[in-house]
Amino acid sequence: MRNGWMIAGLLALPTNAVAQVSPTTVPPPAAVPGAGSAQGDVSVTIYNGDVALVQDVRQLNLAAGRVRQSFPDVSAQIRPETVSLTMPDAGIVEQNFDYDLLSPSSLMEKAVGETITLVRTNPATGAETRERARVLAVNGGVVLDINGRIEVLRDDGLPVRAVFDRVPESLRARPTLSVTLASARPGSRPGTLSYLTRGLGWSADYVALFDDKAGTIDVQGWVTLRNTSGTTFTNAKTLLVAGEVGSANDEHDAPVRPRRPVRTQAGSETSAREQLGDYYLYPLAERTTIADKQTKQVSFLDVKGVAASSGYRFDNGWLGTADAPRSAQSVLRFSNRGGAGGVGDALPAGTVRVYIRDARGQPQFTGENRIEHTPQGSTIALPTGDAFDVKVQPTVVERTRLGSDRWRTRMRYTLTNARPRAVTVELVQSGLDWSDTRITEESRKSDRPNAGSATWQVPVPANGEAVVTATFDTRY
Amino acid sequence: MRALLTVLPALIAIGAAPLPAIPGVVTSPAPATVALTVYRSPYGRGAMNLGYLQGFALVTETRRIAVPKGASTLRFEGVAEGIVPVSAVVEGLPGGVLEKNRDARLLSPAALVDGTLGRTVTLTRTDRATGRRVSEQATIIAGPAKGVVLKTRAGIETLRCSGLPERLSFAGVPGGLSAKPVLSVSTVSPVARTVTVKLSYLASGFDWRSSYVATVAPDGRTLDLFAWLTLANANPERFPDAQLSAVAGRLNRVWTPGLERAVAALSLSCYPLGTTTSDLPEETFEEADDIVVTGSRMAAPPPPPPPPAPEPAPAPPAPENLGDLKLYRVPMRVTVAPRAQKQVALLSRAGVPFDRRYRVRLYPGQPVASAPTRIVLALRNRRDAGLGLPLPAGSTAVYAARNGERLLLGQGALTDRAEGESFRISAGISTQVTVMQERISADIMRVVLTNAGVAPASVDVPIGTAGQRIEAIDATLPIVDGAPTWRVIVAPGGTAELRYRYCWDRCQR
Repeated sequence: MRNGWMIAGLLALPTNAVAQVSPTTVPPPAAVPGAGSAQGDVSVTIYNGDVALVQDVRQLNLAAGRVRQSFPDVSAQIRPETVSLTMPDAGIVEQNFDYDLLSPSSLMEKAVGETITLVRTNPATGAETRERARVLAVNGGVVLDINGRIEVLRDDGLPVRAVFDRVPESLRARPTLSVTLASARPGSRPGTLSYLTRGLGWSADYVALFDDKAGTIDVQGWVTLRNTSGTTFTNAKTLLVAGEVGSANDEHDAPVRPRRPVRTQAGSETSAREQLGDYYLYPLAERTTIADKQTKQVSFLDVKGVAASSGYRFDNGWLGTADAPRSAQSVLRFSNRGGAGGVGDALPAGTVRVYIRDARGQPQFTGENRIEHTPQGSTIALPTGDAFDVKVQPTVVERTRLGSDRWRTRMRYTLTNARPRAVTVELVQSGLDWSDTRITEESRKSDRPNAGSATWQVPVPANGEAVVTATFDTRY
Repeated sequence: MRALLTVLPALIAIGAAPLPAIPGVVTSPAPATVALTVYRSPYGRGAMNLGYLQGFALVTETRRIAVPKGASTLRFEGVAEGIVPVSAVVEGLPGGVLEKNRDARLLSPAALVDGTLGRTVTLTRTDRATGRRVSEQATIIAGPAKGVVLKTRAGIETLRCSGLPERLSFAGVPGGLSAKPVLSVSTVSPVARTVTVKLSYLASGFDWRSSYVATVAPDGRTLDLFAWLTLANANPERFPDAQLSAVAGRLNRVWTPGLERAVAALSLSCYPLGTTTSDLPEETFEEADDIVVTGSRMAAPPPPPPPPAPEPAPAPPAPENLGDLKLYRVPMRVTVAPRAQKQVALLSRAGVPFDRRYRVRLYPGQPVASAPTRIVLALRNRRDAGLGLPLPAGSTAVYAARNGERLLLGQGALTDRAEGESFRISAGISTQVTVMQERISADIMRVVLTNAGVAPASVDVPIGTAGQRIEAIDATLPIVDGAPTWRVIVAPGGTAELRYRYCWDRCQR
């Protein structure tokens, strides 16, 4: 392979330049991202809320006394205030994070007061002349002192190469962490650098294949890592933590409520997974390279034949009325209990994609929804979308004012089912959460799971309809 | 020479597929078979905006792949650009899938500089006068953001700040860069075997709509209902001989972070290059007068005519139930072209009876001075009424024949309608049948309908909102969909009048 690259370099050169340059000394480019990285033994612990802990053990060869050690190839989104370095026989004096980057502009600005070389090219003959010049100022243009003459760089627009003698020490190609150490003894020893970084995140992705006839789902779980940190972590030991470690800045970010929220009844079983405090841990079995701009998925769950059922739910807001029937939600219900019939594991937050086999046996996508961190033993009702054939038309039949703050509202709910088999719809009238709501009359017995809603389980015959009526006595 | 022979193909391939063959990497350039299931944009209405398709598709591919024994990486090329990588499912590998990766580091000028930072490149300057080229080795010490800084034999120099033609040549493409985002999986196979792998994934950049064309029969009592399934692919990929289907119904979607395309532009900014003359105001010239075009100005073009009547197509197969959704199969294999729209027949029914009605909604207290009414065709989606099949949401157009020509009567929209439902199709606005409403007293309104046409008009006037108390004087109003509705037949050249009392609280009697 190495031979190949040399020849590639040779062919890339213009033929009349071959004589001047020996291409065999051109080193090959990095074969894999991150090759040639200064990283040592890296372990990465990734949390859910855009925060990751990186530990990097590097062999450092230090002299005795005060030494300045730079650490290239740390994450480009490092939070420098969280850096710590532990090293035997050395103490930290100071820590710097330099982001004064080397560029043509910064190079020229740092050259003020220094002497540089100007190479002028005669546009007619191509002849080069060299002279030394001192940079006086870089303000909108470059003012030079050339042997007592004051000139502006490229004032006449003719080609002038500005050649600098050296790169100022403070300018760096990449943001670089540097640490000044008080080293007690000379010699090579491992130093453990640890820091928090942004730009590394993970979530779970589930593939749930639902078999309606058998009443089961097969669930595959994948953890999905995303690296947008700008840095490749090479051959890293990777640990994923299911849990949000929180941040002082989170307080005001109220989550937006999804339109079809997943309803979970929290379980009380303990998963066999390794735990750290209240968090479940998902270590990756093998070391892996997390390349920059990469999305990486690793399997963590594969269970077959979990008991599941499909159902319908319709949630009507207070005084909700419709000219035409509205679709009920299709809801997939399953549990992550241990033992037979359950997924048998805690489920980290992520997206569940539901598939159903079509008449030819091909899995087809039928909707997705997001679950939060779900402890083992929970039951999950996952709305996947709206049903085409199962609809509810809520109607406000009559609103009557009974007194200064009393209203009587008659509601009728017409449930229709165009499917060739009977279904049961969970009909919810919500928005009842003021203190003194009463249902004075209803055609079916309702449940009041909380003050805010009344729920009816309504069987609707195949290709038929059902009607529920109720009268509410409310304050508004 | 042997090395040269093995390398040449890789060199030629640069640009199309830049990665040279790396041991253990198996590349599958294209699928063997493709099945495409297109889902509608959940809230899309009207015509599709081909530049911004909000629907998506499930792409299911099979690929023949020779999997080597041991650890290997399989690269799937030719997947749709809009792939949602986390949704990819790979089946059929003898060793299963260890890892799925989606690399979005793309080969670009900036990525070349970035990947070669600290390494040697060839800097070539061309003399403008003589054309002589001078090459030397240089090391990139900064870039690609904010310009490129090089270390040459002469010292530290900046790229393209001198005014000389300068270019960089790189010895090769840094690893991990690809022409397009690539999906790859890593596997450890117990045997070397050529297997059929099934890859399925969701992809954005697709959408479909149904467009209903209703043609009213000369007798004015029945219509022929036909629907097109129009689907569009905004991806640059072509899906040849695909098994195509479309799913109707609304699915829940979760926002998934899109692919971050890691293509930074290479910006070659220099140090400030202002001169002693660069602040002088540039001379400007007045613009020449606008060119005067003689002739009349074109009026805004009329909207393109709707699709003409289709040839009576064979009735397409009824959709199958997919959970609570409806799956329509295109009966033959079709090719879905990149950035293209395609139409196939969705349904076709002849002789569907309908009821022609006029409709206007009034609100109590609202003064209305002679307003037109909407013409609607009321249909029942039942087998005994000539239909009885799922009707996915879409746009509607109603036509009638006149002396062998077709006339557009009206356009409208339809929501998802299950079997057994009643629905209305908009058939235009009538200025022949008009409505007037005025206040007579504090809580009494008067409504007058006028029919200037030659046929009796059946008019529906829903009044107010559901639950509102409306009491007609000397008449009873049936409650339709929650709203009290005045249903009346107005004779040709005649009028009809209604007085009603309204109140939100207890009505004063």
